[in-house]
Amino acid sequence: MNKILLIIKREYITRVRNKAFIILTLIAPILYGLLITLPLIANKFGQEVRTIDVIDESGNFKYHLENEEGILFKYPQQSFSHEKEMMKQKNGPQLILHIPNRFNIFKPEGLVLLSTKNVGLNFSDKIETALENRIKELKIRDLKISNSLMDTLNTKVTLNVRAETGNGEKESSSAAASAAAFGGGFLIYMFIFLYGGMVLRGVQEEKQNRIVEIIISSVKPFQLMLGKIIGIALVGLTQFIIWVILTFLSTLLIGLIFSPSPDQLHMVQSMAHGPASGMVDAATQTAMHKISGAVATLNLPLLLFMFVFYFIGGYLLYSSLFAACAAAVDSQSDLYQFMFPISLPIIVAIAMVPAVISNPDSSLAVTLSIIPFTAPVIMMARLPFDVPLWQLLLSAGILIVGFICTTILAGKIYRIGILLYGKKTSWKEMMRWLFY
Amino acid sequence: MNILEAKNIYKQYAKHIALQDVSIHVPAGTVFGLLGPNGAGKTTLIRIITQIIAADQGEIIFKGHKMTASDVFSIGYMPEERGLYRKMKVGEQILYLAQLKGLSKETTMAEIKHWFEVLKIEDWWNKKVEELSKGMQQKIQFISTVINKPDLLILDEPFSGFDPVNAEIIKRELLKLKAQGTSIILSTHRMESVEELCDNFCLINHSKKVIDGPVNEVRHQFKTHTYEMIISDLYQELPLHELRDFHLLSQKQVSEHSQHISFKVGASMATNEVLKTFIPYGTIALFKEVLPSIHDIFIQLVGGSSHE
Repeated sequence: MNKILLIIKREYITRVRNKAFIILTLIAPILYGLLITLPLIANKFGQEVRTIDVIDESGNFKYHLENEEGILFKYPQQSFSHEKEMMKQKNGPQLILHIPNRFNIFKPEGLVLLSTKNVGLNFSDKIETALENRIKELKIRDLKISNSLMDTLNTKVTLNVRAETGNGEKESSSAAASAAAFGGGFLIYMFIFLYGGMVLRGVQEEKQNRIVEIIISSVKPFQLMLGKIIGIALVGLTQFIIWVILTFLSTLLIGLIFSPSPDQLHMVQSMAHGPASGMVDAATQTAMHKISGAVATLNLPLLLFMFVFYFIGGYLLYSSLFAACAAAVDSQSDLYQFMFPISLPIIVAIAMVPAVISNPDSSLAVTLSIIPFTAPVIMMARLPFDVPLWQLLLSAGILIVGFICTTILAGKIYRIGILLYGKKTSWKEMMRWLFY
Repeated sequence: MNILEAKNIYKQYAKHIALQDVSIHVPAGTVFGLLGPNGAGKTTLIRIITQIIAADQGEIIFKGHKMTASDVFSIGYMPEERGLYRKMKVGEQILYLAQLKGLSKETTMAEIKHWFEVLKIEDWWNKKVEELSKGMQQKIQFISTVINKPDLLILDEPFSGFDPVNAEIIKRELLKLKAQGTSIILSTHRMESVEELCDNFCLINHSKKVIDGPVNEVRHQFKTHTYEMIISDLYQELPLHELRDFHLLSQKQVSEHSQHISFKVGASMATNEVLKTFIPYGTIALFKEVLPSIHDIFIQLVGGSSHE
């Protein structure tokens, strides 16, 4: 036992002290924090507002196009050809929207947007929406639809989603649940390959170095394998905990620095010369409120706890198989032959996540969340949608049995494979080792 | 008393037989040479002794009892394919390997200090293994093998990779360890180190034992009755025809009155009889029976098949 501890300690310390590890551990959450607060920062500095010169020869659109986020319509008194000339000059207009004289709202053709730069799809969408809104107004007038009739036609529905559980109703947000489901499933997938890969490379290194012969003469192969797997699991947990804490802190910090104070809001507004940006800030704030409200509907402690459980369970299951593979083969190219079939279930699992999210209680989703090879990813994807307790316990129990079995089987392959050199190993041979 | 006995060991891999009825015995406090060409089965035998793999048949007796898993800790094993963690520091690496062998940290530190001084590498503690040359890594490997003062040392090709100076240091240290009571098994295909260091040896070829025994006895057993002599103050022609089955190998004048001759005689002539024949003819400055080297015996027994 003491020797396993020594091995765990070495595996842990050499990795945690590694410079690349420290840098990645510290940088990742800062990047992540930046990523999720980027919209806030973008708002703080105000968006780039692009001015469009509208040359409306039909006269139906002048002063009636609504300014969108980042778009300001201007109506110069010039002719289209004159504007086009101006465009070639340095300080001339950059965008011209031309509406021809005989523009028919029931047959909307001939609209042209001239631009000196490339225009994004999103940007032209917004202009199209503005035009469509105005055309709608004109049509309403043309068809003599009264305002009251229009109001009657327009219906606004807000869906109030509530989860029905045994303990009464509670509010839930399907968007937040989907995000948590996808995030959880994907993180598990990523972590299994990240830390499983560390085990794989560690075993390969020991085999190629032949240091394994020295170590095996003082400890059992199984102890060496187990020590490595546990040591790296602790590395993973350490990294995960640091990431959770730092992400939380960096989000908080960046949020604090860039949260718009009333003064700044005012400044941003005057800088943007329009009412639009002020509205955007208000809209973002309500959105932020909505998101934090939605997050609050999730059972975060359960999610975090089960995440750690499925991470460790899935990692143990797969990394022991990875270790066995790395022990059994000599060359990198032979390794892929074994790695692919072994990692197939988890690749299938991640591919099934969207289907599971759209129907978390389908028999397929339930089955996949109980099979130990797919359970870590699929159960994390189902969990935000309230999984029955018996399914959760069954899945967890089978996963524990599963990783104990794979570790024992992997140990048998590892024990023989690790000392074998210069021989191509086949599946058949590996199976024989199991009963050696 | 034998520290180690291997009795009738058989080992078969999937398609080829690695060891076939091989028995050796290693007297305590001696150096034992395990000889054989590449692929003869030396490493397999060592792996069975160190319990890395199991024999199909036969048993290993260690210090008089059937070997158990815990006996491995009394053995220090240096494999032919040396291995160290490349990214680890020298000091930590030795400490780790020693602790795995069950040594306490304090004992290990004292031992490391001692060995660093002996091998003149005092300032290597913080060096990474990947910064060291092959020969330098070899020293680290050697230290980590002997650090727990095992009763039995098993060294697979211990001198490969060392320059002559360092090989000499290692030889000296091995003899010191032997003087302190350590038993040593040297596995090698270099015969000259066997004659220098080994008390007993065993020759394996094609998975079978070819010959074993004390080095000197075996050399006598294979003697070719070859002699070397320097004789001076010759006052008459040597009576070479008087010797039975005489065969002159070389004869040269060393100085005006002395000659160096090297010759072979028939097996029926005793050494003293040969010497007596020459005494009346001059002053014998040197008379020596030339025993075959282990290398010669090896070639004789294994023949051309040794260099496949």
